[in-house]
Amino acid sequence: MGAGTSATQMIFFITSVIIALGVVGALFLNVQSISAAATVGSKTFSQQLRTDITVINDPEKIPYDTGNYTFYVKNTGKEDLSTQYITIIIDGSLVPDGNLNKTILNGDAMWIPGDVLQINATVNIDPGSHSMRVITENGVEDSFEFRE
Amino acid sequence: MGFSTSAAVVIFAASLMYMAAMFYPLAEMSHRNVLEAEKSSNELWKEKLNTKITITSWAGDGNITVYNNGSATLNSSRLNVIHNGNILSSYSVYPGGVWPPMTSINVTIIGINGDRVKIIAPNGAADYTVRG
Repeated sequence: MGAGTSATQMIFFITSVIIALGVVGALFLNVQSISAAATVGSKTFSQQLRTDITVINDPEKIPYDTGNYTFYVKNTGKEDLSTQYITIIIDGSLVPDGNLNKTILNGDAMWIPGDVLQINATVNIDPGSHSMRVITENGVEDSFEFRE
Repeated sequence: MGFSTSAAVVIFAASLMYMAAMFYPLAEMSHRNVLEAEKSSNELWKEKLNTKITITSWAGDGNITVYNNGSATLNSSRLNVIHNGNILSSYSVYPGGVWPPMTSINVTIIGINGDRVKIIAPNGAADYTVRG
């Protein structure tokens, strides 16, 4: 139990503290990442649950004017939505964003519950039955069957 | 050796308690948010399932009578009207506001003739009528 033993114990002590702090630090970073992911995930999931949209067109008569078809989509949920990342798929084909012109009919900046979004889509559609899907930024969608 | 182990255990225990204290409020808040959203979603679906509107008459003068045939109270001021595929901005509804179940409202559309009209309730429920 001389000076050598004390030095060894001191080295063991310092090493164990350093290792413990390292492990705890790594654990802490992981717990922080999981907490942040859980918070973001729950927020997104909550938004999805509160989001609902409905295509309100008359399936028999879709307004058409020089290559533009007009679709009306109503925010029937409880969440304000952005119109920037609305996706339109007609007969399985994505309509490029450049071919879409989106207008909120009462002039609001955000697409709030109750508002109707008018989407003018420049697409070529053959006569017959077609299907259309509108997808919001958070993945909520509505499908609509119509006849051209 | 014994003291080193004790020190490491103390560090682990204190850190685990600190991490739990940090994680639990966030997890609880996230859980509460999801529960509230689920409640909103259930209310939304319940209202949708309990909503039904029926166009009972469309007179020649542009007056459309719409009956709330469901069990949900609606807001008649937030209807949408589509005539021949185009959404109308100019129409009047009487009485406006609260539209209780088993009551009718009158939607008056000026200057249209015939064809198809679709009335859409605030939650997306709709009915059509065709007049030749």
